[in-house]
Amino acid sequence: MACLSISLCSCGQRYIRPTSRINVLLKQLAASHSQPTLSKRLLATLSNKQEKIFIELIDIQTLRREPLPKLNSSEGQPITLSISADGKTLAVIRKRAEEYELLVYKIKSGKFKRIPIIPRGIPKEISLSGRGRILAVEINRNGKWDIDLIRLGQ
Amino acid sequence: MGCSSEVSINQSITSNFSENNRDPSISGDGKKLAFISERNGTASVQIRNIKNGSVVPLRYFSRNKPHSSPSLSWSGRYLALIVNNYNRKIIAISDRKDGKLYYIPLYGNKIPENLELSPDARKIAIEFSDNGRPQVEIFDLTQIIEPENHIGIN
Repeated sequence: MACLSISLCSCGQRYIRPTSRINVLLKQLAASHSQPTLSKRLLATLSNKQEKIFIELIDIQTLRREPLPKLNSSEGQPITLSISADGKTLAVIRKRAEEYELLVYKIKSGKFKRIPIIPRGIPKEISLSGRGRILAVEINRNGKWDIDLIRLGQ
Repeated sequence: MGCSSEVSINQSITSNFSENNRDPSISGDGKKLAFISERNGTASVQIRNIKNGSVVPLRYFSRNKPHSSPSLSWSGRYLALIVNNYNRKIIAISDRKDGKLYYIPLYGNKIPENLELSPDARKIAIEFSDNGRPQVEIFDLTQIIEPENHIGIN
């Protein structure tokens, strides 16, 4: 039996340190944040400001808020999101008129594309690979949850 | 399976009649998929190779269930997730290269609800509930684990 090597930190000696500047900014920007997703440099969250939910994208190093043209201005409420590690692509599930949509959004150009869910189902959680080429989607079909892998074009 | 010229759907590698599979996380290099598999009411983490669907062995995680919110670093060396420790949710990070497991307590009795590792494993974004409102904070992991310095993006 292999020897277990476990660092058990419950006695208080190895708490992780909050990165205070970005955390202070998050508190200033909106009443609440959820669904965090990280690229190498960017943090994206769902933010709730005056009961409106929108996608916030922040450069962790410079604390600059990145614009997301068309994404927050379009109709529909975002449910969850995932950013690619290279910071170039966001995948978003949003609810629009009782329908759930799966979108892939290019951050630099502001262009987005709807991804079909085949066979039909209700998407819930998503994860993008580092360069935004593969999307994993948790989907409910007939009461059963499973994960589809979708290979995206360039 | 349905497909278009730009999007191809690779129907699930996780499909199994007896299980619900949820909470996907793709490694940055696009080679591994972590997810939560529910069997007989128990939620436990799994990692599979995307190329062939084979299961990646995981030490340590036979206990501390239910598991939730898995997140992989760029190469899949690190797996972070929320585990149950004496009926309390805490964060665990597995270093699959060095065979170590870290339990990460949070200051102020914060209870994690959702998390994501940065691709280089230098940071972790954690969502927790603050008086009923979701909040997100970023924490520095560099005092605890070795960052992944050779990730495939600038």
